[in-house]
Amino acid sequence: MPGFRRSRAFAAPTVVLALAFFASPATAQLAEDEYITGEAGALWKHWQGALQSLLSRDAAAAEAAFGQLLEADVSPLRLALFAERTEKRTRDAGALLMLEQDVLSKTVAPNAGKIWERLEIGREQKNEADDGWYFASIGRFGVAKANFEALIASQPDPVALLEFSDRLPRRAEILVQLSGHPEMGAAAVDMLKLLREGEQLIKADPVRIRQNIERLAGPPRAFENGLANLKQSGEYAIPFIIQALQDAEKKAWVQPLLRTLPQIGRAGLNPLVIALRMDDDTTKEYLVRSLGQIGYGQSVPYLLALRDAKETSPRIRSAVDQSLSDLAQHGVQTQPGLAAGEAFYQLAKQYYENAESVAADARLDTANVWYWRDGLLQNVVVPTAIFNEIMVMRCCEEALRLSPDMKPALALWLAANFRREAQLAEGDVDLTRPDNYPTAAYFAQSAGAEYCLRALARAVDDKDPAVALGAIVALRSTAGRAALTDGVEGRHPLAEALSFPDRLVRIQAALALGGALPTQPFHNSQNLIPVLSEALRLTGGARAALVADPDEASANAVAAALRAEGYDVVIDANLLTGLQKVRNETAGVDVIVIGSNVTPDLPGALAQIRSEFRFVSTPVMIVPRPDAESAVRDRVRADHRLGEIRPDAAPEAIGGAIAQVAKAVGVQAVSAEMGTQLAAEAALVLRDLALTDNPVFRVADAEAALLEALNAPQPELREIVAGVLGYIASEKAQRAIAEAAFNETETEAMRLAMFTALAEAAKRSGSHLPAEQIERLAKIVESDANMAIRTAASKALGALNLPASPASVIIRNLYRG
Amino acid sequence: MLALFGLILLAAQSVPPEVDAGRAIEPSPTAVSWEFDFRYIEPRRIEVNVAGRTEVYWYLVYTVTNRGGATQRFHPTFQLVTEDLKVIDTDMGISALVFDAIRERHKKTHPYLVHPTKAIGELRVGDDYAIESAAIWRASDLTANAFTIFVAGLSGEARIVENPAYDPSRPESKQESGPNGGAPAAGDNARFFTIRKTLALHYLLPGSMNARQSAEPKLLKARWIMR
Repeated sequence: MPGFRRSRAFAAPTVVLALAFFASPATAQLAEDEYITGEAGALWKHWQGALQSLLSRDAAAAEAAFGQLLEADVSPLRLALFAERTEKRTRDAGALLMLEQDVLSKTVAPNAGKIWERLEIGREQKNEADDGWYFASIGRFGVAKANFEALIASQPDPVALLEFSDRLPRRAEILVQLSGHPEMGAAAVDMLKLLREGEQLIKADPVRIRQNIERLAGPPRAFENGLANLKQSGEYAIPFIIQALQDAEKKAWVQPLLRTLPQIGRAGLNPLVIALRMDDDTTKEYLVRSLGQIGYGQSVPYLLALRDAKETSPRIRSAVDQSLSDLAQHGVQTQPGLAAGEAFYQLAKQYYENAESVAADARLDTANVWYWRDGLLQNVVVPTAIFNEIMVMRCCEEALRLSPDMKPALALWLAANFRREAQLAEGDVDLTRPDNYPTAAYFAQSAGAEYCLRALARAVDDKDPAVALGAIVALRSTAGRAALTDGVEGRHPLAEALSFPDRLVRIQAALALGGALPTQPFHNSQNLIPVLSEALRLTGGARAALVADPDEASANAVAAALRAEGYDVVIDANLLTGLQKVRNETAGVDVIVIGSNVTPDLPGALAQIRSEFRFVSTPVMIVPRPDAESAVRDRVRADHRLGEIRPDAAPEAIGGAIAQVAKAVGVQAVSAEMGTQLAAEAALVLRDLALTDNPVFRVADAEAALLEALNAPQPELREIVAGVLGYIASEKAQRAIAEAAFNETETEAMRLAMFTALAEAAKRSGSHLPAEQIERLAKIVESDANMAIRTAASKALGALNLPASPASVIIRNLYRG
Repeated sequence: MLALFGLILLAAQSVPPEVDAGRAIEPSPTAVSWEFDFRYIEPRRIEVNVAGRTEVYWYLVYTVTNRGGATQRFHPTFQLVTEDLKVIDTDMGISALVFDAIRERHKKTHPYLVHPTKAIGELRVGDDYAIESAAIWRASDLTANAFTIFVAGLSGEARIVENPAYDPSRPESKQESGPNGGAPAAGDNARFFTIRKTLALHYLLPGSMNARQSAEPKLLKARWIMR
């Protein structure tokens, strides 16, 4: 592997230079030793042992120590950092020279040779990291990017990389600053991901956690240091603490551990409550007491379930009561008589509503879901975006286990499952579900109309398109006419959805309701025909965007990219006037793009957007200004309805970013294909309403939209629309059908269909054609070159049932003596 | 007046911690190629009325002299990199009025100041052929309170280094980098990168955003690096 710093490969003069370099207080990493703990600390001992054995000419011991390093799969970068530490902190650097000489003379022992190979790779990785940061800091981004890419491709040890990065605080800052850079943004983001992974691995390092647990039993200072590190490890420390509490030989550790558990705080709650499933009553009692001292309401349902379980011993019941009393002192009041099932449902609602007190750390890409399996706590890593939904489902499952008839819990489970499916990004996997886990639609259909309507009611309240669409689609495929129109618990969620802010939800609701051919007016029924009309106008697809950015150049660049992606764009420097334009000029908007320096400020602008019903679920993409990149990133991570784009990104990249947010929200841009399908479905619903002479809805109210759809390019749609227009007794409708029939540029099939539609229309409501069109019709009947057309036209003419029969005129005109 | 002049440092010095995020690749300790003598005045702000609008610029006035043994081509590049890593190139397309205003301001100390485009060309040996010119940046681009000016083209020392991310299975890019040090537009699979001996002038612009309008840049460090 090439490298700019090849000449810095180990050699005696380099040691001197390195020592001189690191002697500078400006570049010394003060907290360097912090990382030589845990797994890395154990490896360091083997490494030192190997080098000292080399120096003492004990080849066998050195080989054994190198073997231990290989067995522990020491990473190349870790070895490079060890070598550097050896050079600058110990007197063993000569051993590295000896090792190199053995390699050069090909007398190196097998394990030592393998370690040397890894060390070379690690040094290259270290150089690439160093060069990447250096060239980034001096603005040579192409070179920096190449180094970072090479480093990332070599899959460096994230913990060792984090250790190297943290030597200079500026390094992480550089990556954050460049994470939106057009050329090297992707490499910077990948580097940041690696560093975050390193952080997580350090927190979860079992050796480090065990060492810190051991420190708890030491002198006060050791306890404090161990406690601080265990707090940092958070939830990862809990399984080891429980293990230590259960260890009969570590009785002396119990008291320090019991002092530690509550101090880990909220971070430890999720594994702790799951661990209540253990059989060991002594430890369980400790955990129950700790939950009371931690003082969060999340533990209440688990404590109540434990208290109510018939197999729970009186001792544990008493501990639970004490714990609930402790919780009350922390301000967590438990209603008297609250059933555990209901408590789980309440907790599920908190997760569903993304309450901050229960949510996972939004700064991280992943979160842990804990299980008690085989007598051990085990974590399953899930994308943070779906953590809340998984927890909703788990809580609902517990609620249903305790109260099988709890309908709201089942409906909430369905809603969360729809949301989980929508928010799971492409390529991500939910490892809490088995491989062949059925789709959310499967469960919704199985649950039946009542539960889908309940889920829909919640989605209507939350303005949640993903859940609403899922529920309506399930309703359309399973529910009978009565179920669709009757509603649930005094509400008519499907009818309410006719006013939903998302277009697709409105239309699906209208198709479902219209398809049920209701015979009585219902709440919001006045919106049915307008929504079906909206669907009829979607034949070309519909994508509209608002760009509100005070930076004109940025706004223009984003608008151009959106236009290239097929959006109709409304552009304005000011958000308020931009929103007003959207209200006045467009039927809806699929995405709103704002600059982070929008007036009055970003939080105010987002509040303004979300305060308006129709924009509640609209994806909002933020263009971050340099001084707001970090703030924007935090917002985007915390709200799945937000995304981030760069004005200089390629149109496809902008389109992709929008699509990702739209998927998470559950909204879909209406493509031309989907638009045509929806228009055709709307036309069929209108036809059925007309055919059955529906007493509630007047198809004529959709005449304008039908006339527009008659000019659509899709022949199948036009035929259906012509048929529907045939039921409208108006001059406009008949004229439009006749014009289409007369049009010689149309295909013969289309003209024949239009003449048939005209004939049907005339049969139903008589002639509404003006004289001029009747004359043209008669002429076609009399003299068109195509006999099929003439025949079809003649049927239409006859159906008009004109007072002075045109047939007589035609016969006379065709008279040949 | 001499106090105003910064003198380039031929040896790399210890670097302030806030500057680098990696070990700087240093030039050879002794000259291995031709090198110009470069003197400059600390960067200054200037307000110029262009087409009825007051525009603000930063500029750096310099004198470059060839003290070597042979004529060399002088084709400098001045890049300003802010602490938030925005790379700002000198603006060649600015109004002639701006340069005229700079020349007027410095006519006593730099009577032979030439427009930046005219500074490029053969630089003959000796003080008599020294070139005085200015590098100019638009002030609106400079919002950070620390920046570094990189001056390349003052030395013939260069190093060819392999691209660690070079992919032999893909066509090789001829250009190693595009504007602002970014990847070239035609793909970023250059086999090598060229890094050149470059003068780095690290400045601090103290004060808040508003105070910065009148702040004088303070030189933190001047050094040679390979960039």
